[in-house]
Amino acid sequence: MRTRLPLWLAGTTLVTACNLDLTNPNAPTEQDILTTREGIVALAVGLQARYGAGMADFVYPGGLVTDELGATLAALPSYKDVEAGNDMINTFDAVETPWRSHYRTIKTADDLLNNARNVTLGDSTLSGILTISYLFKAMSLGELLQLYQRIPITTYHVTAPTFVDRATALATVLALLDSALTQYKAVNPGSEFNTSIRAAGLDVKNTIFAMQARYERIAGNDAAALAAADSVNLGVASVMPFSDQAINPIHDLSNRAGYVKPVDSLRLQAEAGDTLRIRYHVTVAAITGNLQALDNFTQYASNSAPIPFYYPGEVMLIRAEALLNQADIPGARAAVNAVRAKCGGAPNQPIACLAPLADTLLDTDPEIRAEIYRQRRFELYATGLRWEDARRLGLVGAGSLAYRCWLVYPFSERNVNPNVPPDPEPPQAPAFPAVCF
Amino acid sequence: MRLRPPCVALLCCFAVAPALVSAQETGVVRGRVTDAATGQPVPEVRITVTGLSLEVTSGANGEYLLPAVATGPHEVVARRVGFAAARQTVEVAAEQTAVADFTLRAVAVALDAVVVTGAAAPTPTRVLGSSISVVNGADVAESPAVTVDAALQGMVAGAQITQNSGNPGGGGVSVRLRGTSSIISGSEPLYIVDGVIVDNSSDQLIDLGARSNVQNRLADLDPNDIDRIEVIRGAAAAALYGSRANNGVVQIFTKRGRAGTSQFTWQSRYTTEGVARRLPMNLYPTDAAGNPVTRYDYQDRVFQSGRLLENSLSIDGGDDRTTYYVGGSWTDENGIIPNSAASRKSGRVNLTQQLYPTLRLSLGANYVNSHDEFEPNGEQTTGVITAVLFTPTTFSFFPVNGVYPKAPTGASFANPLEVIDTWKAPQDVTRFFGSVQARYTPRPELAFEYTLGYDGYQQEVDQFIPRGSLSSEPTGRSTAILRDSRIVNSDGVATWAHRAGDRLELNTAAGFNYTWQRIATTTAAATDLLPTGELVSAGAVPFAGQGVVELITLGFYGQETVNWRDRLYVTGALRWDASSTFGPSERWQVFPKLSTSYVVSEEPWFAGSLPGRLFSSLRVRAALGYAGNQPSSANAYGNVDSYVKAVNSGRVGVVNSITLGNSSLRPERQRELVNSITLGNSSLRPERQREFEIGADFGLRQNRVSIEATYYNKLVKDLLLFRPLATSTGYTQRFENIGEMSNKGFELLARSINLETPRVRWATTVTYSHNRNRIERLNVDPFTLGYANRVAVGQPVGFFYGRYYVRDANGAIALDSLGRPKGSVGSKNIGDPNPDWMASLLNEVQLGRSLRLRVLFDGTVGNDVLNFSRRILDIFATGRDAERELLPFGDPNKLPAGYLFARRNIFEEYVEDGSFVKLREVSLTYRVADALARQLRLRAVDVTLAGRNLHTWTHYTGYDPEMNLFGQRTVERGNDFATVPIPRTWTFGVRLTY
Repeated sequence: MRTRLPLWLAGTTLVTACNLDLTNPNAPTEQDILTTREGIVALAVGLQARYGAGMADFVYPGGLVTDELGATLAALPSYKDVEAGNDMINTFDAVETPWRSHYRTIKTADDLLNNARNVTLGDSTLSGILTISYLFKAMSLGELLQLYQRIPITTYHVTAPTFVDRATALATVLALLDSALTQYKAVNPGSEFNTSIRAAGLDVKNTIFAMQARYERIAGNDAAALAAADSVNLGVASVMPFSDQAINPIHDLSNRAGYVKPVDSLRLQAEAGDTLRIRYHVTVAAITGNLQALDNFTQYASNSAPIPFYYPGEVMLIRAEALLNQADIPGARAAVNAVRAKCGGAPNQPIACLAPLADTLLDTDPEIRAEIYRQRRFELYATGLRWEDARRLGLVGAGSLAYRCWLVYPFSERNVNPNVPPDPEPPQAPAFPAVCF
Repeated sequence: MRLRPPCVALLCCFAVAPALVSAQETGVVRGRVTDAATGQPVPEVRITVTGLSLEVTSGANGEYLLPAVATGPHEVVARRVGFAAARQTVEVAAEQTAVADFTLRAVAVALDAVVVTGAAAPTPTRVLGSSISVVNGADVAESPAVTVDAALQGMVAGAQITQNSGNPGGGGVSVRLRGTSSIISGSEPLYIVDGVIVDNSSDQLIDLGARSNVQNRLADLDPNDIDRIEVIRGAAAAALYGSRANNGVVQIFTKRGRAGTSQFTWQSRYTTEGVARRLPMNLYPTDAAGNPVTRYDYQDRVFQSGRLLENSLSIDGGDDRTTYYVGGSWTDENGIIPNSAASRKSGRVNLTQQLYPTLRLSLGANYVNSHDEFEPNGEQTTGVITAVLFTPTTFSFFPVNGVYPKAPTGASFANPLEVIDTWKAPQDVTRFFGSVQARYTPRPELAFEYTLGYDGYQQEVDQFIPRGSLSSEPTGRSTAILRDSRIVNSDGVATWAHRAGDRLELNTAAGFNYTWQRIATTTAAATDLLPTGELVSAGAVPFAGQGVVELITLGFYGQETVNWRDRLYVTGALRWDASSTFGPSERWQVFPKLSTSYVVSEEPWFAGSLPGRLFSSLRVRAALGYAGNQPSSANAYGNVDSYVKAVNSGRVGVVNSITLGNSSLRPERQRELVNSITLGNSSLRPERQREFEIGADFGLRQNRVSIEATYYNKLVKDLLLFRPLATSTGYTQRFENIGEMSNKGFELLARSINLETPRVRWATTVTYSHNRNRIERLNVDPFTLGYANRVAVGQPVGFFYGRYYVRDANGAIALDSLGRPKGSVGSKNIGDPNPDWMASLLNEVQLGRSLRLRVLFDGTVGNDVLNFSRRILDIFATGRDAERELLPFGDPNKLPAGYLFARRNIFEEYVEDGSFVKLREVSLTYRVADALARQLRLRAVDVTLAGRNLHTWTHYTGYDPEMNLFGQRTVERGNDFATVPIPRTWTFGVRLTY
């Protein structure tokens, strides 16, 4: 049947032609990820990778604005400008990357919170995924509210998110942490979660407690902060792992790109004998920086160095501060001396191994408070938390600990979203010291 | 599932095709075509029989043979571009040979040239409402240009054809038809070879410094195989190609062979290539302190004279049922940069078989194998010319004890002599074009045609950087990238011509077009190479990657042409198009067109009227139409939301990509308007507007002079761009249909046969085109691409935007306390790479039988070029200007130290007038006397001496105002930065016809 050949050709091409919904072979689609078990599991792994990749973005803007980090000679001009306190342009990396990175993590957490329940995962795996989704969303929002004065909290599938004040944002973070804990306690995440999803090194329960302590303290809830701090098992470390495939972002910025490094003055301003702790943080190099001499990170010297979610010393110092705020002078004194004297094994890093201060030096509230903040500087070095300390101590202004209260809002948000508030200006004399809140 | 009904309907339409075999008695028509003025035979005349789907071309001796003509009286028509069509009626008897000889009269008017592109079926140009250009294959084959597209330079009104570099193998050619019609989706026209869409991509696979490949894939076509080229420039003419025709369509027809004794053609050409102009370098005998120094001009070492050897052999012939064309060619080129080279081997077989009187089958197969060797240049810091610009002329690159000194400018800069001697960047392409075409004509007025086409190639580009030659890549690097591209076309069209009374003729056409394309790219690379060994496997640290893009386009169309008394024609057509790149909600797009043509001079009253006294022929025409542009393959999946890899704890996870998918993507649409009435429309779905082209064709002096004038007005809506998103959403951008751009212009084509005697014919062709491009609307902030090409509302696309001189009240450049110029803080419009107008002038003189001279000038006026090379010369004090800083104090030409460096960021300084006129082509062909040829047992012997790019008249100070660093890219035009200059070439060729 000669006549059938063109007919057959035309027929076959047309039947195949009718499917125009091609799949993208280069990358999975939303459909592939959000409606399948494999997709949700991969997204839960990706959530942790995403947060990990953004961990430097919380550390370095605050580090440059305060006295922790300095720009190298080779740094891009924007890093030098941020360190020097020049005009903060809203396209600077230090302004843009924390915002973009953290909100992308939040988008991932929201994807999981909105879709994981619709996929058959098994209760224990689902519980683990929901727990870390609440937890990483809470940590991301919590870090954003320490960088920007006002932030959006509802962003999932919203074209132009609206901004809320700090108290509302803090309440959201605490509510998310509560949800994480409730979920964790309701159904214990099972072995699949622990062996195939959870970041190796992440201790979920203790991290939730430590974050509750951190943000209850920021919110000024002493009793809750104390209770949370007391719940943390200080014998357990909780860290984000990195590898050659997922490299430590602080190492990347500090050593590979070589833009930002620890300031040498950290070492010089440390108390005599505080060498163990200094050496844990920095390797003395006295490199000529843009404005000041710089050192190298000790703990972030390789691609695969882990970054702790929190230090045990932070939990101990939150406890000391809460006790002090409740006028428990002996309790606070003991707690802060415990940080000085900490001289144990690996989970207790960094360790100061300093002698406790005499009671006479720590018998008033201001004395203890000063020691708590001094210990926070050295214990919590390069965790991004120092800027918040500068704000609450009022040490913000030209020539002070931090030269401004907040980052400006990033261009990428302002360009498109009409709801972005006016940029916060750096405090000007004579309104110094600034009131940031 | 709204797709099913049309598919089923079309199947039915083909299912009703009746049986093929209908026994019919036939005869043969043969004859000879000669030139009325000279009496010489005319080759390549297309002979057709009215009402039948027969077509042959005359051979070198002017003879033709029409096989299998049904018995009865027939009108035989002879047509060739440049001659008036001739017709005669012959009576064909069964098994007999009827003779129909033609003498053709040269005319400048081309109303009867038959074109196919954009018309669904072969159609005389007089029917078309839009202007179309036809270029004869002979002009392409005889041009000394290496590639088909470069050979079109200066030949087509409204086409800006730019050779982007002087690299071997064509150097990368950009074609802009009636201006730029896109911003990020590509502005090159759609290329079709014998009805089959072919790939012309120029994606950068290896970074050789140009952000696109130094060759576009049209370079794979052998110019010798080409019969003719049809160029349609706007949406009005191209609507039948739907969502891919925004940038116009170039259709290339290859030779099909003609009935008669076999004809062998052997051509051999030898070309020398030289650098037309060199940059003046700083050769001042002392340094700034007055100490004597040795200076080097490395242009002596990085340029050489290139050469190109081309050999081709073709055989064509056939009988009353079969015609064939077999062509083979081999070219071998050494570029003007040492160790850069290109070679191409190509073989083509075209076979046409009349299986039955009603069924014709055509096969075409073209296999191409090419190998190139490239050198890095341009913005690549390892570039050869780049290093010449960047290196102080006091530095010696010459090897010492076998070791090449490292470039003093930085770790990522290379020693150009070492790059030439030891680096490698080969490219290998293996390509196959094939098509099968069946044409079934059950009745003279009814035809079905089906074409199945395939275009597939494997392209491998490699780069080898030896160990130790580059400080930033100390252990060397080897990269191999393989691209596999396949396009399958399946096209069907049915045409029906029918008369209604003796005044009205209707031509109906309906068809479908299906294209599937897959582009797969695999990358392998490694560093830490062995001391010897160039392959990736010689490395210790490997990297790999893979990407696949698939695209499907499906379209249906219908067209109706109404012909009233062979003088008034109205054509209406509708194309219904779907592409996998559009969002599901916007998948089906409709592209209508409407055109009319009125041959006023056919009116009986015309001869006595005033226009009749002025013009020997007159036609007016107008056309409206829509066309579209699909996202480029890089954005083929912009309609879906996708996730990217994120690794944690050794496990592979995913997170959302920063680009949000857009499920309502549409093609960019191009349309033209009479009045712009809706520019203020801020709605996301822009109102549909019309496209408009209007023109007239005049013939003067018995059609020995023709003038074609066309005005067009194009508006592209729904431009595809990335719209930024609020980053708090977790996304950064989204690919959307935003923005509008217009092109308005005027084209003029004038041809004149100035002199025609039996011994001398002199003809002149002039083209002029003017285009005004403007971004009408842009729903994103203005942005810059490349170095300074900006996209902003109210401006032409890609205008130069940068810092400018601070000037005093008198307009003089303001100087600082050290006498150095001061630049502005902000930026402004400092130039425009788009020409105000372009023109070409072609003179062709035939002296007797033996001598033919062809001289082509072309040029552009009003286009600016960013001379980035000169900026580098300023920064590193390597150019002749730097000598002025070294002059002794008191010299009137003395510039203060640091003057040139101080102006480096003032881009106004480097934007130069790039207007030029080029002596593009001169060719002189001598045909050896017949008697001598016969003694050699040959039909003809032609000897040609030709030159290309022989001289450039310009104020531009760089190598050449025509090059572009960014290759074929759309917005980034007019950038000159360390690009290989376009060589001046001289060619000597011999063609033997047996």
